[in-house]
Amino acid sequence: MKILKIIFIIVLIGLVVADYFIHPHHPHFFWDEIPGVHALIGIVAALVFVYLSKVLGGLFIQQREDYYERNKKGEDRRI
Amino acid sequence: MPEWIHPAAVLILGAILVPIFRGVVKKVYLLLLPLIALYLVYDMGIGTFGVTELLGFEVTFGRADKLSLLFGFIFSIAAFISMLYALNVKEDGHHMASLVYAGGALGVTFAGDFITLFIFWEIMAFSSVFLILYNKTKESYAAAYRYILVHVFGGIVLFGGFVMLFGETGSFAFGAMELGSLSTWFILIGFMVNAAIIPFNAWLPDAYPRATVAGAVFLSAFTTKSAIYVLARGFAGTDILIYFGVAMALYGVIYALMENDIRRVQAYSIVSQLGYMVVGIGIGTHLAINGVAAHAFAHILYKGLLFMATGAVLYMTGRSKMTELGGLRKYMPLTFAFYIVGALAISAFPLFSGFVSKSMILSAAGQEHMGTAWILLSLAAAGTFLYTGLKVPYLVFFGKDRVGPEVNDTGVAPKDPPKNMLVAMGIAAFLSVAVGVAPGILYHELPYVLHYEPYSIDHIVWSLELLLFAALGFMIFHRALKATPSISLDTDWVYRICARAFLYVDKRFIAKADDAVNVSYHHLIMRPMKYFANRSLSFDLAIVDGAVNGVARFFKGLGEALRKFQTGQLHDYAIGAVLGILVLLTLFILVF
Repeated sequence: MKILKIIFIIVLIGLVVADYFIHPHHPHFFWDEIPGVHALIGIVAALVFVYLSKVLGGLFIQQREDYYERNKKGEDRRI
Repeated sequence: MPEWIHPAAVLILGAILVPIFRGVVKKVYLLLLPLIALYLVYDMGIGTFGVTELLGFEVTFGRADKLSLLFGFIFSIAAFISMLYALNVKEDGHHMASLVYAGGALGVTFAGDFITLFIFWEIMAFSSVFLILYNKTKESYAAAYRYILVHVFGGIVLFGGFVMLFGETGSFAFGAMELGSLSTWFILIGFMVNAAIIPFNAWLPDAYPRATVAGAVFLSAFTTKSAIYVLARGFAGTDILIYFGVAMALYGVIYALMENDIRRVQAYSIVSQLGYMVVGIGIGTHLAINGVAAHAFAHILYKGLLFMATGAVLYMTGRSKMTELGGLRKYMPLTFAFYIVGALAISAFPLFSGFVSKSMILSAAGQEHMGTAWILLSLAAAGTFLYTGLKVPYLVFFGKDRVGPEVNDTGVAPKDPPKNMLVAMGIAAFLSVAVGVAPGILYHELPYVLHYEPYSIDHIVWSLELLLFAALGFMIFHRALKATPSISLDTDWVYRICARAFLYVDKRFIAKADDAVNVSYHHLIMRPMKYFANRSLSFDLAIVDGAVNGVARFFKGLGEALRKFQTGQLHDYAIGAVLGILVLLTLFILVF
């Protein structure tokens, strides 16, 4: 498991190093020339989504599983 | 032999004969129908077919160009794979509904006018709902009811839209539209409902996870992708769709991360992936529309695969909540392998189908210099890997063993699903890899002739950077991503709580008004009637009593005992009078 982690880290470093030598012919954005931008987006994505799903979930979105079944005591029983 | 046979007709009419077959013959028949449809699409060629008159208007059943042929082709493949997966289903009705549903999608795809489009649109809605109903739980019935209400709403809005458009243009022809007049907005909203575009998104994660295991595989393919097709044809280049699409891509990721039910994770994931296609339609350039078509093609395969794998978990263990699953890799190794192929494909790893399709849409956004959209979609792409590729496998297939023979109720180890389900997954997995390895075959069939090379060194390095650093993020934060037994509120809250508010209003006000009507009815009609009834009763008492007394004189010998008996008879008369009033009242209600 430890070896896998070391390989993983080496691959990560290798990718960013490789990015130094990439110069697209038709850059679409100014950051296309900056190495490691995509790596940054990747790790920021993990941080942002974990944070957002926790915060929004905690605020009001996540509810108990019986949310829609509760508080139905007042429901119409005439039928 | 007619010169052109509609592939939808094969599936819809073929569905009628399903109940007459038994055993192996039935299975062969069920698989043969989608294959015939596939052949008919393959054989069709570009052109216009099936032009006929309907309701006094000229309608086109078969508008075949590169866009509709590509969607028709993938719908037929999806119908075949899903049917192979569904062969264990016992109910004929389930098979018939799924065949009619797939036929409806093909009908929409080749429809050249709004009348034909609408007919097949409604066929899809009313056949697909059975795939939810056949799950036969209380939740499924309720979800199916909400599902059909939402789609009937969408259908009515669409209908109103194209009837108004007919008033403006005098034609029912379905082609590219400019968003502007009310009619085009109505049509767009009608399409948006089926494409699960925010805020009309909630029916999808509400209904799909409550469908049958096989039904969800069918559902994942047709409704939303046929809506993507009509949007691409009708509203390509409509800027507003870019905003909707980006919102969907992000929304899907956040909700998928919060969700506990693995099939609902996949449902949110559909919305997220549809977001990319909606962005592509909004951009509307040739590269973008090619990207939409390619992504829809790839998406149907890998999403079907993911629904099949998660469905297999539910089918074999009876569980679909991550809080109740874990360690399945040991028991269902093939399902695990197929799931990982689907997860790598949706995450757009190089050599998998998502890589060659999603990157087209991102490149199209790049070519138009839409920096914000590009960054947000890239974030969502990393997020997609986070939940499908890392969180779900980590909690379902790895982790603590919660399903083994020592810990489950049955004492039997779960195993991989029946062969037909495995083969269906295998085909979808093979195609997902094939499209990724040899994208040229798919690119050749795209609507516009363009050269696009997905496997450039910058694309490969950048994609791997994005995904592997997201994985690094997961390794750091994975403790924060543990599943919780919860549900997530969505826009369906509005109509689910509104329904309850309506019941409250009904109880408090409408029922009160109803009572008031009853009271006034009592005072205005019942009491006068009772008055007349009493008068007639006293008339009865006086005259009849007198007459009976007169008769009684002839029988003096009967004395007091008979007199008592007579008063008893009079009591019966009174009851008769009341009954007469009731009969009159009933007649009154029935006649007026």
